[in-house]
Amino acid sequence: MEKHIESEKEVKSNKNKTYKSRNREYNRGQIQLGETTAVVIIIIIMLVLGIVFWNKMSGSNIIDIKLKSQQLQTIEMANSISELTELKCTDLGIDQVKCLDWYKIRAMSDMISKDNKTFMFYNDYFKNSKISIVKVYPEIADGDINNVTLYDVKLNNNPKSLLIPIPICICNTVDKTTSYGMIIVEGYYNG
Amino acid sequence: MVKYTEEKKRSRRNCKLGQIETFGLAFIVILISVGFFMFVSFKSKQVVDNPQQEYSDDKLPEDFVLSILKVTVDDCDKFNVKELIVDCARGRKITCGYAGVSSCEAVNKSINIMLNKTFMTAGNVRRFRFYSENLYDSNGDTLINVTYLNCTPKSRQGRTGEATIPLYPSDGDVYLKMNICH
Repeated sequence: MEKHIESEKEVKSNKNKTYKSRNREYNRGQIQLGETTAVVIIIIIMLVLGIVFWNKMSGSNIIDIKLKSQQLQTIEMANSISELTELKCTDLGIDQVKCLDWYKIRAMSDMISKDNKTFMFYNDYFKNSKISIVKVYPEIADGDINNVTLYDVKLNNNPKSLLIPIPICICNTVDKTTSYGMIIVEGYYNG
Repeated sequence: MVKYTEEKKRSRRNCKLGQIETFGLAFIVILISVGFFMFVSFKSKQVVDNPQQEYSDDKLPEDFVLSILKVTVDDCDKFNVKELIVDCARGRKITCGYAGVSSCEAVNKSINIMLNKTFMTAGNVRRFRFYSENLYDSNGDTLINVTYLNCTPKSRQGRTGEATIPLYPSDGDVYLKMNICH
């Protein structure tokens, strides 16, 4: 009888042991599940942050690229003006380096402002910009013209603009003198 | 029985240590990735690609140096800058104006005026240095050496604009050089 009771107790205690160890295993499983969930949440948060960051970066990049291409267009146009055959000084038929003819400049300015066909022709090249040529040195006597606006088309009332000055020399074929001057190109664009 | 419980305790400790290590690793990874994001965003803001600035720094000096050579110097009997520089380097026979200013002084003054009106005026102020090589004044010092806003050879600068003036039939060349500093 006593033996039977003891064996029952042993069975009970064994049952208790297996139940406790099972409980421990369940607890471990919960901890691991918690860790996994935490890691997944962290990864999701990082992914979201990454996507937001990338979106912002790519957005600002597009604006930068647009601005840069507009600036490059203006620079390209500014460079082409000092190489226009219509304006260049020639000596015995040979083009001079970095030199524009003052009378050719004035003639072209007149043509663009008065003749619509000429204006339309140059509008294809110069688009929305202002191009002026200024004599800087030597000092000019009062009454003489030292500033000619070659072309001026504004995009709208409040455009952004990029100003590019290009040093050149300006020859006067009548009195055989050469002045130092600047081509000032103002490219207009929407910001 | 005693051995069994001790082993269990050890394995539990190991388990906890493993968990702590995993969290440490995760923490370090997160720190590194956050640092990387911050570095990339900072760099992308810092490097501003500005075509206008690049153009000005590299092209303006060259254009200026080449443009001034043929300019008629004020009050100097229709001599241009190049002719006066050649005369200054060779024998100084030309004098300008009523005051009889030497070719060296006249050319120095005219270049200074042009520099002033181009790079020192409001709206277009730039740090630059303009200097000549193989061209000396009566004291044997370099004739033209203009530095504006502390632009020195050690400063970060764009491409050098350079014009070579041959002294033919004499030997040698005179160089006019210009740099714009960032």
